[in-house]
Amino acid sequence: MYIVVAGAGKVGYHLTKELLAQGHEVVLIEKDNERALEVGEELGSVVIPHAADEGRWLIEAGVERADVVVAATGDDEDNLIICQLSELLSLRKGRRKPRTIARVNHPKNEMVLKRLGVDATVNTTSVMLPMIEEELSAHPAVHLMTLRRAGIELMEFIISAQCPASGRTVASLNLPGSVSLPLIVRGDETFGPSPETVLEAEDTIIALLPIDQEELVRTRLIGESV
Amino acid sequence: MNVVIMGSGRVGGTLATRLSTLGHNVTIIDVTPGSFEKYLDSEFKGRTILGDGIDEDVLRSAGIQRADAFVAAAHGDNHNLMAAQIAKVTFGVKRVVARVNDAVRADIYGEIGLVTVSPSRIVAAAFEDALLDETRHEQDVAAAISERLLK
Repeated sequence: MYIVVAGAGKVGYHLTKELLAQGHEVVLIEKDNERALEVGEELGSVVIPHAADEGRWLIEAGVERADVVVAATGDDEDNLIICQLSELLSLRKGRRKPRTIARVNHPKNEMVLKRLGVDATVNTTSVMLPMIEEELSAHPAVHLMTLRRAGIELMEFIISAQCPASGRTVASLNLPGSVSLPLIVRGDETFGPSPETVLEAEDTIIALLPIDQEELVRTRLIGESV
Repeated sequence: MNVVIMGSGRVGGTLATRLSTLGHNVTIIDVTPGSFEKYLDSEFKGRTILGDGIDEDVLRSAGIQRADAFVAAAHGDNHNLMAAQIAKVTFGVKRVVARVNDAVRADIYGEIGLVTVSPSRIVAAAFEDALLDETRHEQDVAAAISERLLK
């Protein structure tokens, strides 16, 4: 395949290297002269040291015969224009339009770019977020929010069968009056516990507590300190 | 006419004041605090919104849904082209004009129906007139944009 990559930052550079290794024909466009030279030394003549959002350099890169254009700069608006220009320049020459892929840096712009005709978007934040969330949800104690001025934090605890709180009533935990447990999520059900509520394994407990009580609450609920 | 302008620099600020004086309902958006005080005239009667014009939420709070016209007059060509297309495609604003310095981009986007004003081209033409001493009177960029909007 013939691929044009715009932007030789970490993303564009590694992508180009990888695509070349796979046997594709690749041209990389980078507007920063110094960076272009640096990358060019390693990758050879495939680097064009100019701005990809200026039509003439896209033409120079042979965009009208490209199968794919990847706009991988750190600016979403530049990536949008690079994709659109590639498409318009190809159509002007009577060629079929290349498939356009844009890197999105600000998650809010993902939908905008798609709506404005970019074929595919890659957003690092939305790739990483589910992974992070998954990591977090495996952890028994998660800080949800800190109200620093009030000295209060909102935390989530996941109870397992081994936890000291499992099988006990809320009242028997003997939590200080300044700690409240406003919410318990059990399966599909969400409810506010009473002192008689018995905590079960797999329960998710939302706790509102003074920051200096965190150690105590952790110990009583999940038997684990920081 | 309800007009939303992105970019309160010399061009956007002058245009905003001009349209406001003509009795239009103008909202001007800029990301830089202090730009309104710097470039808007005291005769400006419209609203100012601090934020980025490519952010749909910022555009909404500027009243883009009720706007008859949108002008992208900020600095970066790509920024202006993106904001102009959001106004046109997402919010269906009837009259959209973008300031695009690069003549190549101005032409290409002109071909697909976006109205563009290219200051570099206008200024070059004004210089040419001045040099060749012709009678065609010189236009400044703000006048060119307001003319296109009001046409």
